[in-house]
Amino acid sequence: MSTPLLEQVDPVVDARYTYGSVTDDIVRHVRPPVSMTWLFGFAIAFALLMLLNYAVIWLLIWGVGIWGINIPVGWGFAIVNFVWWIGIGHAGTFISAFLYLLRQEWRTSINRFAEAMTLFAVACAGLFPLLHLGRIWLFYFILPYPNTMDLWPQFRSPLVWDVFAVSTYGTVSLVFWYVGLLPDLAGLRDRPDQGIAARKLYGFFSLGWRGASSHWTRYQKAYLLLAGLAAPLVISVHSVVGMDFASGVVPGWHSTIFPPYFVAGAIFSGFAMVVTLAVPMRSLFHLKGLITLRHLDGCAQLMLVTGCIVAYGYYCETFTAWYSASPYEMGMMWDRWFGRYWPLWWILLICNVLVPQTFWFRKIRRSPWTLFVLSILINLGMWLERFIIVIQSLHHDYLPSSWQIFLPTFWDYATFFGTIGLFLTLFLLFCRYLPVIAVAEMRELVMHKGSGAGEEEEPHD
Amino acid sequence: MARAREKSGRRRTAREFEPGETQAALASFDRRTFLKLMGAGAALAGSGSLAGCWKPQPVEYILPYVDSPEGEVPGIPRFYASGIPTGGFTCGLGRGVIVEHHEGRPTKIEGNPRHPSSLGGTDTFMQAAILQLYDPDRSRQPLQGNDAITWGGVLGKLRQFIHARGGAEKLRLRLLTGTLASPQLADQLAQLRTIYPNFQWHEHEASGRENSRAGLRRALGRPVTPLYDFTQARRILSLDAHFLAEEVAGGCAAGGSVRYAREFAHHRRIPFHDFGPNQTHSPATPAGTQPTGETGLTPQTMTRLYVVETTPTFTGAVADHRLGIRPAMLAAVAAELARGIQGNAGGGSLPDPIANWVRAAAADLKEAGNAALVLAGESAAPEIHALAVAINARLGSIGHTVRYLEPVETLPDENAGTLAALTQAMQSGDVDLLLILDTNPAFTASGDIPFASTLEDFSRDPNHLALHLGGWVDETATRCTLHVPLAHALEAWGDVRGHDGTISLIQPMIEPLFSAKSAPEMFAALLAIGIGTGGRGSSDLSAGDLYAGGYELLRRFWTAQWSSLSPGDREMRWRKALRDGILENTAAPEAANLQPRPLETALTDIAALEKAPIPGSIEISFRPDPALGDGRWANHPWMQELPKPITHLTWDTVALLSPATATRLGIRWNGHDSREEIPVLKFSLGQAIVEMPAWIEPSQPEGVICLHFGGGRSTGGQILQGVGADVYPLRRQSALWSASDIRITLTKKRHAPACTRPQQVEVDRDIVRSRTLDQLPAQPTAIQTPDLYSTTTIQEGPDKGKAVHLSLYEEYQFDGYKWGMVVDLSACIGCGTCVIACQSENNSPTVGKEQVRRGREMHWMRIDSYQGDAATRSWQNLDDNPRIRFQPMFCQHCENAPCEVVCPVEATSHSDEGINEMTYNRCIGTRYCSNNCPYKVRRFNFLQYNPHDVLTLNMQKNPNVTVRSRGVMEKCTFCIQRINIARIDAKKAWAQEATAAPELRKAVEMRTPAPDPYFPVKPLPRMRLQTACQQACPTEALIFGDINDTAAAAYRLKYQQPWAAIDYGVLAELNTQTRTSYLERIDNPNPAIKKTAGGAS
Repeated sequence: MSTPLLEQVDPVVDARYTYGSVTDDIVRHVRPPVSMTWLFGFAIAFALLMLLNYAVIWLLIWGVGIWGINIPVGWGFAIVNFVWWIGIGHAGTFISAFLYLLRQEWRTSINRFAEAMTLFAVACAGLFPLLHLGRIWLFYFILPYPNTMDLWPQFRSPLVWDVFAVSTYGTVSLVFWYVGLLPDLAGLRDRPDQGIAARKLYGFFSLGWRGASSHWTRYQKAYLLLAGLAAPLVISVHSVVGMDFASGVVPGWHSTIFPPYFVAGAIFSGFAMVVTLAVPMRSLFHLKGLITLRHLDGCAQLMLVTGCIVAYGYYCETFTAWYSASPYEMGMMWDRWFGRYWPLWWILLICNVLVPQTFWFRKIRRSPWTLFVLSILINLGMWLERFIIVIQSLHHDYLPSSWQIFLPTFWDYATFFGTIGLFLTLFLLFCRYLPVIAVAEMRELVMHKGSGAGEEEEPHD
Repeated sequence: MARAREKSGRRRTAREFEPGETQAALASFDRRTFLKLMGAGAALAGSGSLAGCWKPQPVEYILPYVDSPEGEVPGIPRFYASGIPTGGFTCGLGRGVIVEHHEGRPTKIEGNPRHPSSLGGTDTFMQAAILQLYDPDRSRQPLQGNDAITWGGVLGKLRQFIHARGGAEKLRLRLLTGTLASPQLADQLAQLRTIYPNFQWHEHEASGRENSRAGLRRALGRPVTPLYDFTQARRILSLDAHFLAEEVAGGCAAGGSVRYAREFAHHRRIPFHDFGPNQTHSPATPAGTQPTGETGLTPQTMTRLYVVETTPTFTGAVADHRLGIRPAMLAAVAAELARGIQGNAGGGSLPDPIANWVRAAAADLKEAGNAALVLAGESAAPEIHALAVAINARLGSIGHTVRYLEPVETLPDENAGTLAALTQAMQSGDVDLLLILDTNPAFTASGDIPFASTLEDFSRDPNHLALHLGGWVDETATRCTLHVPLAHALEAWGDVRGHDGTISLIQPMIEPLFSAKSAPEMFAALLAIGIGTGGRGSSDLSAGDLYAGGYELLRRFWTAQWSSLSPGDREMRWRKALRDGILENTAAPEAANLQPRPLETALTDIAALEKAPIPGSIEISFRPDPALGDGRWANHPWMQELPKPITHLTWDTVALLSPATATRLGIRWNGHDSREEIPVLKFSLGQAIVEMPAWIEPSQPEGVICLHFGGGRSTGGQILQGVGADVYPLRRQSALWSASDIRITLTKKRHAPACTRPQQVEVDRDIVRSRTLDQLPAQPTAIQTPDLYSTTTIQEGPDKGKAVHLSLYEEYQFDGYKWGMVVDLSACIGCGTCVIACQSENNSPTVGKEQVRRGREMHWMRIDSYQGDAATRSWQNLDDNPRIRFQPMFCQHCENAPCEVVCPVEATSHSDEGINEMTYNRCIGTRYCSNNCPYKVRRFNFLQYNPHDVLTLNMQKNPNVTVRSRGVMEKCTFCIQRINIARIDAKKAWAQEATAAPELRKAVEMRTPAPDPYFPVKPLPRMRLQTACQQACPTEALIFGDINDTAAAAYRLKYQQPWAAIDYGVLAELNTQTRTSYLERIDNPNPAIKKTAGGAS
């Protein structure tokens, strides 16, 4: 079996890795002594989380009126953030399901943390549809459950589809991630350097994994099935989110391109977030051999592809507005380019259209810190895109008499940055207590790709 | 046998309750465990119920009737007729009202169809009076300084004081009131004059009628009250007269605006019923005009309105030709008009475009002859009023379009009865006792009358006594020695005359909420004290009247008036007056033998005023605020939050200026938006400095800044705090309405206004359609305004030729009642009465300035207005006199409602009668329905807007409408509560009919079903109802009804020619299939004036 040329020059894992070293390198970062760097990061993240706490309590006391929303802009930051976070989640599922099914080996070293990212992003996203309700305490009205109030969800509403799409997505993502974690949890349980409590905990969550062949057989089958189950969700969830808008009559929402355009945007922003997380992580945790330039290159290429789809979406929306000859569509589009929110629109064009074009250059794709900066720009751009879709469209609709400006309040920002705190808090805890790279899968990869893998020692599980 | 049965019974028992089992169960569940579990359960229940803690539950008291009032059925409202003066309390002309009662609480005010000043319509102030009654800031007890005293204490003080001043004979008594139009009070004034020989009455209205009174006196030689007849007038020219609005107690409408508006609007539209003097309500089944397909409108029969104005008003907005000018030019315009009517136009100082405009108008008026009418507004000088009378006389209109009546109001002495005279008297020590009734001169006095400081000094002197009788502890009350709360018109007995003199009895709807006294009670007490202290008594008064009640006083007064009648007839008359709300045939008689001065003399008089404005100068015009009046409505949250008709500003008074004037003052402007901060201008005149935010209004004439007075109050309530600026210091006796010597400078300060509709151009959208009369064929048959994206045309039936939309789904057949609304844009004058009526009926909260600024006002109904024409893209495209077109906007009740499909919990759904309903209890507040509503008519409770802890405010609430709480979406329901009440009534009548003996049977009116395959409906009993907005509308612009009933007005306006030709749905191209449709506005421009509707050129 000859090694492909690309593999020779550009390995997905450093050729010097062995079973042992790959395990040690990854597991070294699980429950290390608390470092100042981690503590510093965690302090910031936790402070932001407390800000979220504060903002949510205030919200529950007073109501959504503490935000900047109004009539006609009935949806504000909450929905912007929801779409943004759920989009970010998509890369994780895309990596772990799509790339797995397509046997893309380079997914292996990034799928674990990307999935964790998905999970945490979905957790952040899931908060918003609840928080944005006028009467949050009645959120369960939206669920189909037998009751004496003669109440049943109205299935024509995309918001109901949303509930199913997002909850399914959250559940599948959790199960997928957890199933993938099982061998590694068992591995952690079995390491001699663990304390008793940790051993008990890891032992509890590893569900009695012994590494038996029967376990592995079933594990791999289950993983494949879950990958198969998760793959369509990548498409469906954001399509449904897109339909939240597309099925409305609002100029700027009522557009058939939304579902695919939203999916592309989601993957675009998701990979940007993967890069945003991977670049500092591989430096801090000395994982450059495992998360190689090849991975970053792959992410950048995907961003380039999806970025072009997104750019096409912008073009298409503008063209359709002009071609429709509808005064409402054209008025909305004119306002988008030159109206009250024009700076945001132009920044978003720079971030989402121009920035990914730099990924045509191999040099940029392979310079981690450049990528890091660009990925943050893309994240910003994608957030602005949702801002424009949700808020700019609403503020400038059919009757000029109802046009109003939306201006965010402190609480809008507090809730948004608060969820960033929630995300980072969860992610930092994840980095500290779980292997950020799938050890078992890496070892398998090392066996295939590494030099002399398996010759030094037997896998010990 | 018995034992056996017992045994088997025991066995059976044993089978069901095995002894061991039961005991075991009990043993495992001993007392302690039970208590533990109970405790845990209670704790869980407690924590579970935390979810229910989101809303503090108000403490409620249920007070059952001990003695139920006769005929009272809990839950069934009762209606009583009464009259309400324009100011709400005592002063002003009266309008007849019908007050709705729920278990003794008045909750809603409607117009009294029998009353000539109302005809069933109302205006914003009449609607707002109900909340004025319940204002929690109203004064609650008599005060001496800051100390509460009793009514008896007040009377004691008065008696003591009058004694000390030498008794009634010597007491120098002064009375200061607003406009009085009450026969009873006039009688009491006369008695006061007898008992107190040194009595002098002064009248003060900030927005009074001095100019028109002086002008009429000058023109006709004696005081009269003008009564206009817009049913006769076909060509109307207004010289700054805002006759469609009630400008507090003054203004040219003087109590008649509601009626004038109805008369005026009736001849501006394709009529749908006859309009006679006895016409009361828009009938559900109009018997009058039969649908012949003819519009009945020709340029001659349709009223044409010319408005010359110095600041935009809604009267100007509905005009065919609006001319914005500077106040200084008004006399020249009037003179040019007069010369035009004489036939020797020209020679004036007017620039050509304006002169041509005026000449064309003059020619048109002249041609119309006695069907023409010239009105002058209160801001016009007396000479202009006199000239207007002369013009009307020349045209032959006197007796046709205008009649002059014997004065309706009680008139003060021409020179001695003014506020200035009173102030002078107070300063020179000529006053001992001053009684101020329902007026607030310490705030509203013009800058050159130092009334506030004089009053302060006056009260400080123990030899003087100032007594204030008013609704609030306001600027004047705090400067008086004594204050007595004044009873509201809804809680006191009294009487008041309407614009034509017709008398209404005012009957209390509720016991005075706070220990308030009415004006007749106060006067009676004063009279009694006068007699007790040596006044020359009159036969029917005694010292015992000190505590006479309002009822007794009013009865006694009217008994004396009806002394010629037998006691039985008197009683009948009294009862009938109370029931009807009017005393029949009490209109003021026409003033006989008037000799109007000839036009030539009037023209000579005006020559001195006819001067060109100084070029480059900026004039100031003063106007009462459209919502706050002269300031007396400033503590009223509804009025504060009512978007002002032209600017749509709330919670503010501003300086209006045109873009060009703004540029001259160094203000850069690029259109309005909802969050802007506007610059502040400084106006200085001598010592007086007023800072007012500058609101740029394209329809404001160039070179004149309009300042609205009524804002900037400091005392008297919580609502009025910090709203607007006080303009009164800039007014002078000699320059009440305009000034040209005020210095204006731009400050660096910024002000945050709360405008509900910052965008006022239509941006090339076909929203408010209008056409001129010549674009409307006399017999329109085909639809001339096809909607976009129409796909098919109905081939037969009454809808023949009508374009309908194709749908994927089968159309729902509404085969019962089918509710619909038609809005006639020709009739809508944009006054905003419907907005307040809806708020009053449907318990809509006010939200405050900050929330309005954030775009969260809660009105279910709004009046959109657009300036320029449909193609206007931005304010820069507007000319100097842009047209303003109004459009009432509220839930359109779409049959394909975009809001319904997106609600995840089915909180908004369609009824089988076609109403888009809201189920508040289901709403979880996703707000998607609002986002998806193309009309943006849904309103959301972003915060807890409805206070539930202010008892008096709760009393105003309509019990048939849910008070919505935080987090719930709401919107217009077509007054579903009224529909349901009407349905119950109709069903009851039907059932009675079915069961009644044949001889007792009275026919239940049945609906006439539409005779075509589209509405295969069976006849049902006809419901009689009006929505709140419809009922309140002074011009019948809103017509609601069952559009499956061919006889219903709404059906005819939607489906029958000629109305159907101009009936359209807003945004119909979205295929929303709205149940609310609009009749295009029709204008009747003068072809001699080139630009349609409002252009000097």
